[in-house]
Amino acid sequence: MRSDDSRMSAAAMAVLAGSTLLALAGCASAPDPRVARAEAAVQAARDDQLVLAYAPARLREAEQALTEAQEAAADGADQQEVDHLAYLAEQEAAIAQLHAVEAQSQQQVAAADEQIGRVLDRLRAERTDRGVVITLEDVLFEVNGASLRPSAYTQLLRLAEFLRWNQGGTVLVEGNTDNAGSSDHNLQLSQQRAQAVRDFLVANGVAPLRVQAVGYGETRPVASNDSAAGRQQNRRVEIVLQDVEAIARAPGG
Amino acid sequence: MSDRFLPRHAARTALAAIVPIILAACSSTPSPVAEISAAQTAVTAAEQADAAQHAPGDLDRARDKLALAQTAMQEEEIDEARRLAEQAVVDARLAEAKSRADVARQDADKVEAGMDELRSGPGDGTPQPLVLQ
Repeated sequence: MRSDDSRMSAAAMAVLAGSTLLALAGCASAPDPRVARAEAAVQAARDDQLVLAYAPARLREAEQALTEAQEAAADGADQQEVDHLAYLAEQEAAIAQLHAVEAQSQQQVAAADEQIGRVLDRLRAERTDRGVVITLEDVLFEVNGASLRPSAYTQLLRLAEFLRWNQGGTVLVEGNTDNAGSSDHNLQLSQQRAQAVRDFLVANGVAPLRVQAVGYGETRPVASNDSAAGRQQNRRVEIVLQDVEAIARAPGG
Repeated sequence: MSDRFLPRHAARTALAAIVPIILAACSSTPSPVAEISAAQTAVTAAEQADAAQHAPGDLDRARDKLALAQTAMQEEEIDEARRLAEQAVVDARLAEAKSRADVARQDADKVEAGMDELRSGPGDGTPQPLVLQ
């Protein structure tokens, strides 16, 4: 690269020619190390399937930044400015890759949430402020009694299965009645129905310490007791899932 | 330029006169006010995304460059101030992106673990005996 011209008479010319050549060579061929790093970083982002799938716009930004750095280098811009633009491009490329990871992860979470939603649908569960609530209707119990009818088994077995597989969280089983008959009887019936549900869950593998049964009698109506339909709605057992991990983890849970 | 000797009712008029002058001054000498402001915004966003926990090195780099950019601007090293501010922006965005990716990854891992449990059940996946009453 250096001029080898050593003739004293032409020394001045040689120095001038040499430095011009150096400058030209610097512009034309020798890649700026910072730009080279940026090129490698952008190429790594281009080769990243996640980036192509989840952050193509971010990749274009990085490519745009790289182009600016390359053009600045080709135009013989101030070295500091070239290094600066190359730095920006390198960082943008890394940002694109990170955005892709974030977007992919969010999509996984969303997909899982959807799946949890389907599981809850199958359990006929509702998300409420108190937690996820599964309501067992009056028809699932013997008339005026606490024994579960076989028609309740499918739903409860699904719930027991779900709870066995999701070890965290607690289950509150709450019995309720209408206001027909004495309140003492109603309180007792609601306790017995809640207890029957608890027993069923525990018998099917749910840890006893997780499940608590409580009877509220006629004190928590959800409908008017003036009509038969309202009274039937009030005779119910609510199963409240609190902090069950798979549900709690899912966004919106 | 000082308006404190003006009667109060003239203050608005004076302000109206001064603001265009300031703006004109800004546009004739491209001071990197917007870049520094963008860097501040980016650093704040990174902080709010918990970058101090997930990407402390990058966040510190962004903060340092922002401070240096402000100093450079005071010393009227305009190009240096602009470059530092622009680098602070990408450093802060990188810190934020690292933090967000980290958190999202952790969430996804947890959810995936939960889904695996839901799909296959505990342990070897053998269904547990169901006891009917």
